[in-house]
Amino acid sequence: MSISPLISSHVVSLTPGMTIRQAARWMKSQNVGCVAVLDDEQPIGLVTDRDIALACGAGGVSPEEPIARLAAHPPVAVLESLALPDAIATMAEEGVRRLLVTDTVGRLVGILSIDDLVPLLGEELAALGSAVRAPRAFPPV
Amino acid sequence: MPISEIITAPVVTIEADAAVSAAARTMRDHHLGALLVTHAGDLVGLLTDRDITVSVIAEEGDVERTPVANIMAREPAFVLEHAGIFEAIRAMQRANVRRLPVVDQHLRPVGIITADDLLIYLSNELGTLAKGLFRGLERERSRLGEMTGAS
Repeated sequence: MSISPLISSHVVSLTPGMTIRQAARWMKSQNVGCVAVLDDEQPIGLVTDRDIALACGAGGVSPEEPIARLAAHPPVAVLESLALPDAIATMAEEGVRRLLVTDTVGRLVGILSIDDLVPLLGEELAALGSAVRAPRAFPPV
Repeated sequence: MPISEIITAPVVTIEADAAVSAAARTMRDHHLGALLVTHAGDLVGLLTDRDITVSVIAEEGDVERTPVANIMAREPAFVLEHAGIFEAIRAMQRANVRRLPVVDQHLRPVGIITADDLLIYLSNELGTLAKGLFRGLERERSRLGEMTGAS
């Protein structure tokens, strides 16, 4: 199964020069926990509400600074054609709960989050559970 | 199985009148996403890193002058420390949250249980189940091997 149907394509994208405060406002109004930072359509980072809270709340970074300052490390990105087990393996190896998903020319397609995988796996287990529990019907003799 | 066995201890709390900046430093130093907020030893709220971002940073507030009490979730849903795993899951589902304060019978904070803690626990249980199935198959193979003299 590919990750395609699980990708969240509603991703708030900001340009590197927008401020951290603007990013925080978007997170609030769109009810999201992270924003992608795009430089000329190429994702250069993912910034989470936690990143902002720690940088501005504890680290003394001014919210008027550009969001690019918090997108310092390149995000872990995968192709939208990736199979689900490989995406899970990548999350595990990199120790991340979100993957940036791009197309073959590096443009942002969406985000794959562990919070989308858990409900899916839960549904699959529940379906398996009802198959195991149900008495099997035998054909009439 | 009581959830007290899978929550992370020791509990990390912050006073309700502490500044948001102090809470952020505590979250950073302890690698936490949420803190139990206390007043006179009692649980009065739950503060998450997101609260800091949407309630202070987005609103042009001052992290040094805003007390935690202003932005925390008041009277959060909680679960008792002797509650079981499934009870904790149901409580999270009902409250639609991914974190629950854990309290003792006197409602004093004991820790936090998160959806991640429960996911890890359930995954380990499933993994153990899978190992058992695999071992059962191996046993059957080796028994049959002994019977037929195959190596």
